[in-house]
Amino acid sequence: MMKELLLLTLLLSLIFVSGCVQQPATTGEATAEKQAMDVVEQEMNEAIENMTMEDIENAITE
Amino acid sequence: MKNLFAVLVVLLLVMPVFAQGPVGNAAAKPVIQKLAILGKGIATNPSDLMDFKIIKIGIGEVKVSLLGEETELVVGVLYLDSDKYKVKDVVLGNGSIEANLYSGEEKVGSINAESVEKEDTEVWVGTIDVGGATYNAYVLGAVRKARPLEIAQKVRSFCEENPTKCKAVVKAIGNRYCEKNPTDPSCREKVKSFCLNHPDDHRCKEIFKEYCVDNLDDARCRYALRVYCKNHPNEDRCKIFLVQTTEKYCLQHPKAPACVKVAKVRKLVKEKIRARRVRRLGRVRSSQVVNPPTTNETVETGPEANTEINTTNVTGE
Repeated sequence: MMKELLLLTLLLSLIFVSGCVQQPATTGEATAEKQAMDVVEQEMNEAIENMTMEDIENAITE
Repeated sequence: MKNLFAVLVVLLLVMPVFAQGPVGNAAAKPVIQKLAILGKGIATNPSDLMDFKIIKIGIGEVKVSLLGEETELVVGVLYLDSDKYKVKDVVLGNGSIEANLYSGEEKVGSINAESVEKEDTEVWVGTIDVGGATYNAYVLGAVRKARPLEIAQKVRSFCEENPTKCKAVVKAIGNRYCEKNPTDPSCREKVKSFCLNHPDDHRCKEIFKEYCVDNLDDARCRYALRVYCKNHPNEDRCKIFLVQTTEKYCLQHPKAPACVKVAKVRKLVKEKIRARRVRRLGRVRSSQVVNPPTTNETVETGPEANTEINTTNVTGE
């Protein structure tokens, strides 16, 4: 019984740890680019949401 | 056996914590350094009236901290209807943008646009090459005001580089030590804090506008000056704003109505623009910032001469 439990725990450990360990060297650049693009996209969506000529005019004449 | 089992259970619980690495650095929020263009418009295929697409575009310079390393990237996104493209290899000029479009990691096209001020509105006009077709593109620039924190940060960095121009705002914080020692880093932080809490203070706004004259590739700066210059068209910085934001467009379309007016103003401020650019290039070269090329500026050296200077490593900060 103890032996099976030990093997099961060992197996779980391997699966768990291999899933958690990242490879930052290979994914870092892509992640930075994605983060940057996400921020710009968020700004874009906020800025152009319901954008009309009236909005532009009001903002300038306020 | 029991001991080994206990060790394994502990390892199972503890390992994920170490496996995640430096969480603090990885989770640092990206910071926008510049917003080159934000807007929406229409792309039309000149050979097919019914082939047109809605454009949404955003391009900016973003500082990203990842695993303890800071990187500044000039990137963006472009939507043509619902198709999304990454915008990379960006070259920003005075009122111009050139970039390549990517779908995933594959380069699929390019965008080329120049800005022109029409009726108090920024319009980006250019072409988009994608999917074997060339579209004429018209994008209305969206309104993006600078936020108090952004104003405070820009004022702080401006005062770091130009302490003599910051006497008024240093006086505003009401600290005698800082009045006598404006270059002290703690005083710059006090200025930042003052402008963060008083973003509408005329001294903070004044410094921000001064910063903006040298950073017209930022939509927040263009907006700030557009609003201000509506009531102060004869100020030098407003003339500089008008000339620089339409520079590329007007070089190519000198007879366009908007450019005839600009041509008269250009003669008046040509030398001042040149002097500002030389000062700015000097600051950039001495700051040794490591970055990809993002700016392509034109410095006029004579009435007809236009010398292209590729200013690599420019951040404008």
